[in-house]
Amino acid sequence: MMRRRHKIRAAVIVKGVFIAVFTFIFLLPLWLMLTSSFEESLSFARHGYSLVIYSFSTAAYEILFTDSLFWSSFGNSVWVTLCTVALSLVVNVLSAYALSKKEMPLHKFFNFLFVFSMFFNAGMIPTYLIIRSLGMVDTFLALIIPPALGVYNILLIRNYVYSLPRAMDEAAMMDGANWFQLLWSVIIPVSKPVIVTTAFITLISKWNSWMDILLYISKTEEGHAFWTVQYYLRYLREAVGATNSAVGSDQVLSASIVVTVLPVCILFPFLQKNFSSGISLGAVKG
Amino acid sequence: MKEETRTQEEQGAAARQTQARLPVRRRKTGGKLALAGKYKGLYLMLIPGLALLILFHYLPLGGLVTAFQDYDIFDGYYSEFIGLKNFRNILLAATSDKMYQIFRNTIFISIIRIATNFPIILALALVVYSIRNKYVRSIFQGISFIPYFISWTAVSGMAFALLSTDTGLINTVLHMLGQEGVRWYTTPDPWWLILAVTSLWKGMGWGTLIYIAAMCNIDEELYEACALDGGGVLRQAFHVTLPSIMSVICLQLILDTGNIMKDNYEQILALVPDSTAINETVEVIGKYTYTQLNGPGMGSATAMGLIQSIIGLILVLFANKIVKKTDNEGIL
Repeated sequence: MMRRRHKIRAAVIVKGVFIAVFTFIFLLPLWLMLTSSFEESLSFARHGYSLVIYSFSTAAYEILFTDSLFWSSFGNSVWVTLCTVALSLVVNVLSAYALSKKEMPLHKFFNFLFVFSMFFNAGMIPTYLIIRSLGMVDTFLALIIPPALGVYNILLIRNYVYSLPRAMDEAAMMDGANWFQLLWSVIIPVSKPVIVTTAFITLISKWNSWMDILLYISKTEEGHAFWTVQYYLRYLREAVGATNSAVGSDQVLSASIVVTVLPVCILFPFLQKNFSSGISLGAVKG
Repeated sequence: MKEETRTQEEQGAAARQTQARLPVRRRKTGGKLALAGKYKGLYLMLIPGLALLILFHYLPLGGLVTAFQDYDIFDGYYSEFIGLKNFRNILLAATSDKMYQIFRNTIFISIIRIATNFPIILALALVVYSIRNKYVRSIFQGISFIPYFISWTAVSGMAFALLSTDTGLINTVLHMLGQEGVRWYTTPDPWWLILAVTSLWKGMGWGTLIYIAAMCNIDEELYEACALDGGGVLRQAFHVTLPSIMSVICLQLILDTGNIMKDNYEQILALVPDSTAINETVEVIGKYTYTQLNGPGMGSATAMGLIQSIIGLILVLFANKIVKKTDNEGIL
């Protein structure tokens, strides 16, 4: 009996240590961004990135907030992300509903078209060439339209609609509703959880994207007007890595990281709730 | 009189019935057009999705013709056709240092990432699942998710906070221990591990989701039975939890294996400043392709991407076959 109690207590301690260590690992990088962005610059030069703030200063934020490039990038990020999410909702929900109708002629073929694109894509250069020949290079269209289609999201919604009882829309069909009315008044109201989940997936991945600027926006002065805040981060990060970096540029980088991660943290309670339920809804059913 | 009207009524009803039936029959024999008419609304709904799919997934497949051309910026798609020369050059060059490095890095970075991330994610899932206190569990799970929602560019800044030569935390700690600091950004050797660790940090909490979802379906009685036999927490984990979710574990491992040829060039382009000093370990196919964009090497870079895609597809199909063999549903 004694031995068993010891055993259990040991297990609890091991578990507690594990949780503590991993919490520390998960939060450490974020914490370093906070401390370094609020550190006074001379003190930062002496101590470097550290766990504590030696002397408090908001200078890094003042530099960041007076940079007009930061504000234009941040503004671009906000509206580009919102546009992409809105467009993707329309595209994804419509496609998913159509793909969920197994009795539709060519149902299998269309499903294959969508699923196959997840496993085989032409790659960076052919995609770039198409976007260039569509005249989308150096426009916001290149940042908004291609990511509006989310095949994974479509499959999540489709699987959810599959799982709904068929009687639901058949009853409405009897009343003479057309497909659009059906989708709008029957399917969308009951599929809200999974639709919201996919909207969040698009939101986060668009907010965090920067490769599209790297590829589709030219690296000239005019290109700055298209920057999103993530690309602004990259620009600061490259400046920090350079040998002749300006004094305090690393702290401005930390401050800008704090400011970009903040909106995500505000959304976080919703994210956690939605992702855990939404993903297990769609993913387990495969 | 009454009888007559009745029969007339009956006849009328019968006639109406046949009339009613006729168009139905006609619609059936009218064939697929009429059937498609019924689904017109659905096809309309598919248009936006299909349009984007064709524009950004299937038209670029046509652009793969670049892989068979000696690409010229001015001639574009009409560049000189050189057949399989690009592929031959890659195969010949594969024995050269640079090409060999690129393929080696692509594969080894994946293997190291899977080998380190897979068991640790599984262990984390076991720990999260074993937390009985609801609040502790949900808070810890929440914290483990956060990194998944942070962009690679932001992660790059955080990595710099740890790895920077003069100000980085790791070197500060090394100095405190009386050790010499490491110039991480000019030392190529540790980067395979650094990439694996940053992947782990970012994807860990997320990766546990699928396991925890599976663990929630395990019958509680199995644990009670195990506890009655005197099984401790560890024994319960190894004799109840792991065997119960073995199919999900296998599925995940197979899917991971199918992705070995994929390089996370977004991660590498973000984390690694463009220095030739460490390119020998971090140059992967995607990164190389990016450097060839709009340059003379576009043809051969497209060819490399095509090789990568085809091997990747074969691996995924192969993995899918195995998954189906193990009584799981498969993904295709």
